[in-house]
Amino acid sequence: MKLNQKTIREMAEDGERLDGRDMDELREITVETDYINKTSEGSALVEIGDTKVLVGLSIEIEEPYSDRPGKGTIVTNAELAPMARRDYESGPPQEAGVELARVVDRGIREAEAINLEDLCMVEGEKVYTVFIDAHVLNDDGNLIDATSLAAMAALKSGYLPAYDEETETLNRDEKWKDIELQCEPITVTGQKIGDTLLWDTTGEEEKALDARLTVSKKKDGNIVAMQKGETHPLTADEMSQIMSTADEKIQKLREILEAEVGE
Amino acid sequence: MSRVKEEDDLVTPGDLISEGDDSADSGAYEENNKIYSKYLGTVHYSGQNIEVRPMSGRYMPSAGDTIIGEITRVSYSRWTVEFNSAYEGSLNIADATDEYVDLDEDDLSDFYEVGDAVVIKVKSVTEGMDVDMTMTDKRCRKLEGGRIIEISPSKVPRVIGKKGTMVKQINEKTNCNIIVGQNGQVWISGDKANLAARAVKKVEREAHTEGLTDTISDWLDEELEAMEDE
Amino acid sequence: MTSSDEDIEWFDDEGKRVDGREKDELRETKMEVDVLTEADGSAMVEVGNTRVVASVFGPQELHPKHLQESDRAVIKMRYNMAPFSVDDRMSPGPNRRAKEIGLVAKNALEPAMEMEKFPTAGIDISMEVVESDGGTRVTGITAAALALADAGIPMKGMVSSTAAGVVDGTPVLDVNGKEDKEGNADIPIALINYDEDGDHQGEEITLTQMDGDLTQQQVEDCIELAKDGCRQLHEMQQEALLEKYQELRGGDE
Repeated sequence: MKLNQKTIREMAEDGERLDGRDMDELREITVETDYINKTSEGSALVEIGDTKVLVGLSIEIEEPYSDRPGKGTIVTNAELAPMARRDYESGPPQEAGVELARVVDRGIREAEAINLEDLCMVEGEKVYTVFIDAHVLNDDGNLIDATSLAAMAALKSGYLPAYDEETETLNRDEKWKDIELQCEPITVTGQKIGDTLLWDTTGEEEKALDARLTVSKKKDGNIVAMQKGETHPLTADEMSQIMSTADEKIQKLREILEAEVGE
Repeated sequence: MSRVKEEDDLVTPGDLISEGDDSADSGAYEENNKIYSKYLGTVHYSGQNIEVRPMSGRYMPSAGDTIIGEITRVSYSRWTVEFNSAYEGSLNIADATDEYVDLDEDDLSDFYEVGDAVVIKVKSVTEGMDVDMTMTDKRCRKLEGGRIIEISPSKVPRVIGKKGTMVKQINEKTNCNIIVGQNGQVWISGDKANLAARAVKKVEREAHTEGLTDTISDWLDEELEAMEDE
Repeated sequence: MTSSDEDIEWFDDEGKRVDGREKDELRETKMEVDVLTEADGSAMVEVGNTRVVASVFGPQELHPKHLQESDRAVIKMRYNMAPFSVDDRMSPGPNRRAKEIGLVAKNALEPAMEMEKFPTAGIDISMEVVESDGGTRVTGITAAALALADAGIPMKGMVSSTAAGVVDGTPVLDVNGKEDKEGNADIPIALINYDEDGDHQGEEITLTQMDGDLTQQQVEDCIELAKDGCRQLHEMQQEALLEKYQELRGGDE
């Protein structure tokens, strides 16, 4: 209701939120890996508050691109299931799903989380393609952070199935090796309502959102990817604030991730 | 006559409630002299009438209901009101104000604009679900500030309480102003609006339990104490 | 019969199936209601390794207007398999098979629903298969019925659904992925269930499909097996619906 949007804006000016959280407080976050038992080679269900995102990996074996004969591929896809929100029923917003997939992908790719050469089976002939498929089941805001975390958890707990040279197919019942991550980027988004910065917005808060900045950082603190979203501008100062505050949010997510999947 | 389910029992769709002379009221249906439930809900006997009150379900407008809605369209001589239902309502100029309005001169947006939240009454509902609304009840007004939360319409009576006791209790302890719409939209205004909202949601969750008034009273006292300690 | 069919031992010496079950035994089944907060009603059902989440939005305004019916609600049904729900990744989005399943699933649920209560309105039902190991459409229907009850849509009974098949000449209940692929038939059935004081009844079959090559007797045997399976599922549906409220009441029902 528009009345709520107005109230959210007014309260933000006073540093207050509808659910009583601090402006930079995150909702409860849970990560459950191995959510899919048999058909996926790595999976994770992440809940941030009521937002629920499921990521499943599918590993296929394909011919490499001719210009990269010794490298495998990562493909990231995101579905906003119509069940995730009432206004998605008549068809979810196409660009939102595409942006979500690309932002999540960028964090993983730019950090070189996976060494694509590790995915090579037979140079020039057979390489692994890792499909990262995100399925948003319930959207109550902050999809980017939830999806990125789920993707990282799925990769960290995932494996590559064995390749049978005789039949030239994958034997999904046999593991070749765990997916090794060269580094583990974590992605968080800082949001702005009016002149106030805040973190982890709910679905309702998102309707009053003016701008957001997503930041992906590696363990060494370097930033590997960014994305500004929504329709209002951010000042360079606000961006720096978000980049700095991001560190403690990222640390928190890292701890939650490591508690579930280990280091 | 044999009654398989007792007063206040929880039933699911297709559950047999009674066999014999009883008749089916709202939420129940009859087949071959047997009364079955249509809902996941609670059984209520009223003489020989059997009613099943559902635990959930979206709002169906009913004449006389006072609800909270939002103006979504302003036309030449009327406004359209949405209120979390499959149906929208129409507010005609004649039912909106006692003032004289010259349709060629005055702008209806001066009274109510798109986006305004209002407490409004359902005047009439036709079989084809055309809903007419009116603002001429003294409880009707435009809402400013505060927040609106959603509860299941089936839980509204519990949140209001017998003779308004439950909502009054929450109002007093949190020093808030709460208006409960029959459609499940609840407007809350005040400093401790967040606490009041949580109390309302707690009543909704535990609506079917006994001694709820005391439970909520105790819970509110605890929360208020905790807030003071901070 | 394929050559692999001859190699597999479908029943062991004690008559147990490849996964240790009896002929008329359902796989381990779990049901949970109200799993999503945005939807008006929702449920998740797991049968063995098959897992489906169902949601209901409605009654709500139906667009576009020309699809509205003046005297009843209209159902929009979606069935979709997540890319990671099968061994070899599926492209995202419903394909033709999914569209057909959407239609038969809608026809399985609609006869139980009181559609005339909501003139001009729409009821949107969605089934997302999160993991597939045989019986995704029937599991989806069982979950959708729970979601409808959770959403407070009036129904005369609960629809439950399961499939029977024939493996090595023997009718079996609830075919898993392997039995479906290599076995000789797949007959999904949906039933409208009633509880007459503990007696789970129902003769109205709202879904029947078949894939295979069987005698009429075998088909009839499968149907009886499936009906019994549906009644067992009904009992679990009731438990799942009551569970949410039972706890808070002190479980004295």
